[in-house]
Amino acid sequence: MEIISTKKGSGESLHVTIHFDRMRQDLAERRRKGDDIAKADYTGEVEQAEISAHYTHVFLKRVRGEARAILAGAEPARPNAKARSLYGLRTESVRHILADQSLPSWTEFDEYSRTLLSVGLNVPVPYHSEWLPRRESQRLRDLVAEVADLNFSVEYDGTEIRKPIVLFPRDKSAGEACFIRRFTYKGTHVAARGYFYAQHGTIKPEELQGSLIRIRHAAVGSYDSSFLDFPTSEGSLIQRWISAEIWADDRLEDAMNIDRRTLRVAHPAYVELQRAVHAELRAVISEARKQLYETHNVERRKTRAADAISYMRQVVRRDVAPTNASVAAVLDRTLRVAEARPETSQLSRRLTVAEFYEIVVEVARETLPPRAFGDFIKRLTERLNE
Amino acid sequence: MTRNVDAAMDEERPEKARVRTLWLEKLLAYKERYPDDAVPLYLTLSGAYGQDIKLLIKHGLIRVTEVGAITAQDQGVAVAIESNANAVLELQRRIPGLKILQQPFESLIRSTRLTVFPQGDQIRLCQARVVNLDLNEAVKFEDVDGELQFPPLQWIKKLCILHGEVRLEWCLLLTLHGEALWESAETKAVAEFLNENFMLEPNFASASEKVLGNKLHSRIVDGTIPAAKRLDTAEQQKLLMLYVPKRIARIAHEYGWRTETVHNLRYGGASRRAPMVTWVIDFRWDARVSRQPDAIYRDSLKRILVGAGYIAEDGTLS
Repeated sequence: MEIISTKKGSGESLHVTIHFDRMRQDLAERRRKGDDIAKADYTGEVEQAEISAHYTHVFLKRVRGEARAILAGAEPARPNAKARSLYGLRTESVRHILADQSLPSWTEFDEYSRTLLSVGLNVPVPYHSEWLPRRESQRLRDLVAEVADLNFSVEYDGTEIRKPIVLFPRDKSAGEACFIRRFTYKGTHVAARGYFYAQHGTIKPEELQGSLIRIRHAAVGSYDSSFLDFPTSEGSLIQRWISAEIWADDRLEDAMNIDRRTLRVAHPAYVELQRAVHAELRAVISEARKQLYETHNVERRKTRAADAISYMRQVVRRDVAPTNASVAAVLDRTLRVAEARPETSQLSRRLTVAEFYEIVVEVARETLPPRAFGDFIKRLTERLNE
Repeated sequence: MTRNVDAAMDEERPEKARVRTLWLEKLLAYKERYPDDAVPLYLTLSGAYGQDIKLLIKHGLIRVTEVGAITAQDQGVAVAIESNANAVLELQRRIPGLKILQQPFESLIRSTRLTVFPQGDQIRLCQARVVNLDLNEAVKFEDVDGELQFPPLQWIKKLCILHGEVRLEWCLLLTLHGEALWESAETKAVAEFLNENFMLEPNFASASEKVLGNKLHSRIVDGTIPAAKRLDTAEQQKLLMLYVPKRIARIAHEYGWRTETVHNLRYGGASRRAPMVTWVIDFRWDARVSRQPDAIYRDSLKRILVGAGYIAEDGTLS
């Protein structure tokens, strides 16, 4: 690793090379006084710099193994696999791809792109300009502005990285098919705030399902689809419809494990936050069930009934009218009335063939003479068996 | 801190712009002739600003994405060598996706010694179709047991050996400072080396006389040339125009390469601009190496001064 650092007003820069290759030396060679083991060594010098320059450049050198391939460029994870790539794309193009609801998971991307997305998720870069439906993004204006005010930017091979969080319900009319619920908590051991986004249908890509905790704007690992071990039996379907970001205060940092990706579950700050998140999640699930699940079911039934009525009117015009125009007219009138109020219609019901067969047999018996009834049933049964 | 070499490269001097168009012509020709090479098209010491690589992008030899990064398919077309970490960063910023080796060229080629050579993928990189050694240095000799050695010529020897493994024709773009600040002994050795072939190759002798001028040519022939550092700048440049490609032809023929010096040019040296010399040399595999190596050398000599010329301050070539 090589580090070059200078600050404004100084005519000097520090140039240090850290020799991590020492780590690969035999332990005996690295043993120092007492129990100390050398993990690296460094060499360095002070060089001239422009007075106005102010930077620290860190160079990773001799990157080895898979990391090298990941950083070098975009290649499919498997030979002949056609992995999608975000390499070399403008921010807007990246947003467009991430908004694609047919994208089930980031695993559709190559390693390079997944690394880029993970970096974007973890560091305090701004959100995309349209990352939520308009109404929902209005509700998070302050959080978005706060992140933007950090003025932290990352350029990755020419692409300006944004948070890879783009949430739109599958129904493009949006607005009604999703909601945002703000979350605020002030406890004894921790304080936190954030949002819960819920939509009708599974969040895609799946990497955005669950909750993401941030401390000082840096993510702790990735989205946790278990919502800090929320019971899977409670609203299991709706849990997959929810994506949450939670900014915890510094006190949660004590609960962080050394890998900085996980939290100690027994730490008081974690326990307190977990309880608050679970309470909020229960409320979100309940709201989602009412606002999204049930409302959506009614809407779906209406649409299905309207479709069925429309099709039946076509059948009447095509098959009944040529034989008996007056009956066709009566039927059409009846169906038109039903079409005007599909929500009260029973025509959205789904019937099995056997159930429908039973209805037809019953009507035929009531209306047809025995001989015609026999012929009709015979023909109908044969037809259904074809 | 901006290095002088980068500042000079970034400054769009008409002479340098002309040289770059000559490089581009060569690269276009090689790309057209060998579109599906397994070796890189271009290995270059491009400096922090990568002006030559940008030219390749501009002319479609390297395709870029919507943010100007080199496409995944074209990432191996050009390879830059740059030892300075900050210059690498600048180059990465300007041309994302460019393959850059952060090391001096001498480290890539593994010194001037002929007992150690590049390993693994670095062999393939050294076998690039076009190698651009745009050096910010003058020809300064090291006396190794009486032999005058100039490290870049040793590198070229090793490039000849490495290219010899695949026998793919290749091209060297070489640029040096046009100063020959040699003492008498060094100048005398250079004159003897040039004189060696004036007798055997009359065409070479007459072309040399035309480039050097009658006076300087005569002084080389009769051994009365003064220390090169006492010659004027233009004469120093001309001496290099003769000496460097001849040394390269000499080196190359031993490994089966016939050289065709397409351009042999000098520029600068006036209006406080550094004097420079530059060459475009094709290396063609010649099977006569096992039977008539001298014939290869003589054929190479015939073409050393065919493309001799001068680039004026406004970039015109004469």
